[in-house]
Amino acid sequence: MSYEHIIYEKEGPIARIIMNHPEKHNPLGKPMMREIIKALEGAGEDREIRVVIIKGAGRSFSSGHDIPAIGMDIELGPEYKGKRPPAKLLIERDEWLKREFYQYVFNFAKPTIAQVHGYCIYGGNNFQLCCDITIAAENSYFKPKGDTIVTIASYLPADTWATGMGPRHLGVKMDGKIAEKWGVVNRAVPLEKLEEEVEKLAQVIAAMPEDSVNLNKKCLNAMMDFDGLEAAWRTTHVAHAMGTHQRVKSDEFNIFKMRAAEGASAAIHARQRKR
Amino acid sequence: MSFENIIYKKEGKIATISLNRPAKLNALNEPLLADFDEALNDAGEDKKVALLIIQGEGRAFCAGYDASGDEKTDPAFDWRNKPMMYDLYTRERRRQDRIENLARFPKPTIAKIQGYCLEAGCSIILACDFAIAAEDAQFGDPSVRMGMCTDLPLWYYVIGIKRAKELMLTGRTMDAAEAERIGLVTKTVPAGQIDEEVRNLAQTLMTSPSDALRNNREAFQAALEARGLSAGFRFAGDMRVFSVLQRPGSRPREFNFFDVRDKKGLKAAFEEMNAPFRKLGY
Repeated sequence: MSYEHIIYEKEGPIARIIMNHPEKHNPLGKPMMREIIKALEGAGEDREIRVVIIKGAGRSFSSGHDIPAIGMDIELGPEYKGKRPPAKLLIERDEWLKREFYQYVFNFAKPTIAQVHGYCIYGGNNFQLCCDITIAAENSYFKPKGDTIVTIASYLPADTWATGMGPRHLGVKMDGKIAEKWGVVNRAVPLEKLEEEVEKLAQVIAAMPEDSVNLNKKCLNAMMDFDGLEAAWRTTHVAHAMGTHQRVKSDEFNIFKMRAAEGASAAIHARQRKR
Repeated sequence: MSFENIIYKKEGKIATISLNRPAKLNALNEPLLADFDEALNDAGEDKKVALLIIQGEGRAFCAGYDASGDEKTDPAFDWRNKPMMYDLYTRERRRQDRIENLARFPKPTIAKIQGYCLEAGCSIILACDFAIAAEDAQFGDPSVRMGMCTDLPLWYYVIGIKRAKELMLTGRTMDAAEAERIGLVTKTVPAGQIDEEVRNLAQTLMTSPSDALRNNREAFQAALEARGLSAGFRFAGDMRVFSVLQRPGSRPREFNFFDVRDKKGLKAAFEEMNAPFRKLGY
């Protein structure tokens, strides 16, 4: 199996999925997400594998969804260029993300560990929340929701569920230590210790009885469903699809217009200067 | 009322249940649980009782369900004899109803914890309103290491999904400081001050009218049940039955806690079970 966007490693009972677009801080473009799922499928079927580590190459875990690509014709087809895409297509795209990516990771039968360093923002944070356990570098940078880019609903309600923080940390910034305090990650460690900590944890889980690990994970995921996760997931993914229909008043900053005119990078930087 | 396996006292408006098998670190066996149920029922019914304290005699609060072999005293539960699902359901429902009853207890509850508080010990303190711990307390649920599913619904609500997953997938223990940090216990104090701390908390609580306390308690419990607590108890109980039917340790090359226990004793089985994880700092 060869991959373009990720690296898949196997060492005894431990598999590693490494997002591999370091030049852009590993954005979650659809091709990369497809490969992550393919790799997980392989790890799921591989009887030797007991635990999967997910991490990013280069300076970061992940910078979130691929902003230049979102909603553009490369995803929706050339006939929509310059036009507002139909709601059905927007919702389908979000359903794909919810069902085929985030929920696939969340419901993956074997335990997953996210090894987070650098940026872990927006979709990147959603991704780590869908993993069972997260060990983060102390100086990593978390931002749960996309209010810097566009103020849209979170994809994944899991961050609020995970922490019990409720909606009051919309768009709040956290380093690894604060993320640990709020229960967004399990532990923050110095960057130079990160790999060692994660590998140790993976060895511990790999040595556990496989059945009880499996049942415990299923049971805790079920707890989240009893707690309303599926319903919340449904409402937020539709809200997220709706987010692209926001209107922008004449005296407000229009990031979509600027992205169309000058590109995603210029638009994001311009938005950040407004803060 | 006098019991063999617990000490049940009523002083003024305060009832206290002390788990009393100190030589076994207050491990919960069926006779103790029968005593516990009776005392809990009395403390709930007695109108003169306003508040309940649960504690353990000796150096530990509670080491969990007695792993020295209830399946040996009652063959219905020995999975090496292929137990009936029917019997396992019955035992599991009884255990979960007990914890749920404690969570629904009509009066404020305070757990006072020193030393080990493991497995079902944690289920008890999670179901109490307050948990005051001595600095030497150790918390955790090693069920997963024995090949068993964990009694985890209350863990999820009290400490959150990420933390619950790490604990339930590694079976590690934590000290009192961490337990306080993540909200598993209300407060940690030096061992010498714990009696005073619990007494002060009880006195403070009893300055509120009993109706107000009941009203608040019901509201919190209603909120948890609206979030699916009861469904969680049922599902987790089913999963525990499943994990027993699966015959823990029966897979090739897997550590078999129960065989090692029968050959070398309980202590040796725990040592052997934990050794590979301890080596990695877990």
